[in-house]
Amino acid sequence: MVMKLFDSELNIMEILWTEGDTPAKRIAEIAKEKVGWSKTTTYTIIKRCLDKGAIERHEPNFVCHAVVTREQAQEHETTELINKMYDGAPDRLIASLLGQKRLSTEEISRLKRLIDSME
Amino acid sequence: MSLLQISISASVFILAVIFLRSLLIHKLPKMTFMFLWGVALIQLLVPVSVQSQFSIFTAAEHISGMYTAPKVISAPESSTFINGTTVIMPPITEHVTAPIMPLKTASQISPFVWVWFVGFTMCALFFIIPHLRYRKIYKMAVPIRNDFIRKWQLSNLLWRDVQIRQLDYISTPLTYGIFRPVVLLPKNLDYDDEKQLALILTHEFTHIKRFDTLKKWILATSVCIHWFNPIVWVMYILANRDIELFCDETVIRKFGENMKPSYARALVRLEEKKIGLSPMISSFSKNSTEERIISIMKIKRITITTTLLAIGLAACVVVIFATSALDKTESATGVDEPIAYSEPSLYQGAITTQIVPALSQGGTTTDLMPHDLTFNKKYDVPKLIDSLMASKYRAVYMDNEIYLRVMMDNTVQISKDNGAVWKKYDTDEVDAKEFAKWLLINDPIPGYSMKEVQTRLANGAEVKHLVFENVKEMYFIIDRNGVQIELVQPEKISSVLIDGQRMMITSAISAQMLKSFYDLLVSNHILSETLAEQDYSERINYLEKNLPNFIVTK
Repeated sequence: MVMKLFDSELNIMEILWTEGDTPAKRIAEIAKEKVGWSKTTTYTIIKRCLDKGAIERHEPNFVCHAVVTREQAQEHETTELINKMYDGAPDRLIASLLGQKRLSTEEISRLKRLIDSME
Repeated sequence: MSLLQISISASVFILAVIFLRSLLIHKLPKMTFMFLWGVALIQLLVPVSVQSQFSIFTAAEHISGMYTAPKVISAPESSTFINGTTVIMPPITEHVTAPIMPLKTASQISPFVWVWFVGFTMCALFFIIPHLRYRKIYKMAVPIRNDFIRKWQLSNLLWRDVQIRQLDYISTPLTYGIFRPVVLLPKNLDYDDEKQLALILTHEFTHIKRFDTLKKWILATSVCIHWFNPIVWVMYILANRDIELFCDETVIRKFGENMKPSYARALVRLEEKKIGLSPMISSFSKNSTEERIISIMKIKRITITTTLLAIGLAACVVVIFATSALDKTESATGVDEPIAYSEPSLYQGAITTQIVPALSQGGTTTDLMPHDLTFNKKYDVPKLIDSLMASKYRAVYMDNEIYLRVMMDNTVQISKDNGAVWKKYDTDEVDAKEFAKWLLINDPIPGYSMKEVQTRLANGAEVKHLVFENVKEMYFIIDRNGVQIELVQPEKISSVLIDGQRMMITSAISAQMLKSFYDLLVSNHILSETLAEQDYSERINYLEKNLPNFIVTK
């Protein structure tokens, strides 16, 4: 079984792979120190891992257990992610280097020619 | 000033900026447009507080009010006879009506305000919901271990703590957060290309230094408030582009002009990285990218000439369009408008009295004036006012329809059956500042010291407002010195009142009515019977002697 995980999720998995089964509270502490995430953010990511089936939780203390092994985990390829990202409405309250819509290949080669002609 | 009027007057300026931009976007330093958009935002956002929008954004009501409220009274043409050198004026029974523009009160929320509010809320959610959703994702970014970035950041310290992190969900570098900004870099960036990294980081740090995220929030706010105005939307799109162009310009100036092609190519390369077949290719972003590339390639060294040209043009646009728009706004405000409309009606009054120079020497001009008679507090009615202040009441009013009294706690009671049953009436609160302005312009009732009233209003007097079925209105100015009633009557009717300031008789009054008024004072234990008799005859004497037309005998 191969499971595609985001960087954030891989970070949580990494903690579980090295530390073994860990209570969520402890994961949040480690993540805060290692990655700088707030407790809420870490819990959000744990929830995503649970939904995906990458980890399991055991009571008491919300102990998390890695279902997916290091070998089974795989990074998401960026193109897939981007397709996901643009399904929704774009975020207009940030400053992004490029527009959030994509250009066609023809358009991009036209822009390249434009730069050449103006140089 | 209504929101609609603000929007319209600002649109004039925005259209001028759009025009200037279409001609000179690649010629002038981008700073020029940032400045002009800033002026537009001030026009759109500053003249109103949220509260005043609610109270005045009753656009249609307002406009219809402007056109219908001042009743133009036809001049009594037949009333003037010229008899040799003497002008004889028949007693006037139709009186010139004071121009009236009812002041809108906070409690009247028209359907227009609701429509606006719904639009505003939807628009705000349109911006905020995606942002909050993405923010959750941005928080999941991980630290970057890259020596070049660490070194670069150490040599470019800002006073705000800036974090640079990596996120695999995004395809383009971005900056979010206003006070604790975070730069997010996509995972698929070429982290070995240090030249490109430096360009990207300089670009993002320029955004941070300039508070461009805050600018975007303010732009979004303006578009939410003015959602009904397409010109403001166009401004929103163009100003957002100009934020980017200004940022590019700064990066190029920092790295030198020969970096222009590399920078433009870097942008196209990053654009290329986003590729993936998507049906959502917008021609609008195509145009904006092209505009951006051309703008980068055309960046020139700023010379004294271009600086002066930019300053001159910006100043011209602001002076011509922003100020004229402001003037327009001023005269279009609900408060000012009645002047324009009331003037004709006043002039009609003046036309009938054109022959007055001869007449006024006869000293009977008073007959031509609206028959408002005020007994000044200091000289004429001190006893009466004192008795009033010693009683349970703060003001008493009477006309042919109602009796009204203001209690010590400033509540208003009205009787419609000549004082047999009194019922408490609810009043609206009116903003004292708005009222002061309105009063200054409309001056509905002569016979009080404008200066004094304005001082009281400025010193925090409260203003309450009451509207009767027949459009008659009353304003109660209340402070520690007591109550002062201002009447607004679309048609002049006979009335008499005493309040903490003066006794006033409006329009011709019958002796009978004046008598009833004194009876009312007696029944409310304000005056004793003897004092009332005495005062009544003094009043009648005064009127008969000085204003023979004032008392209408049955």
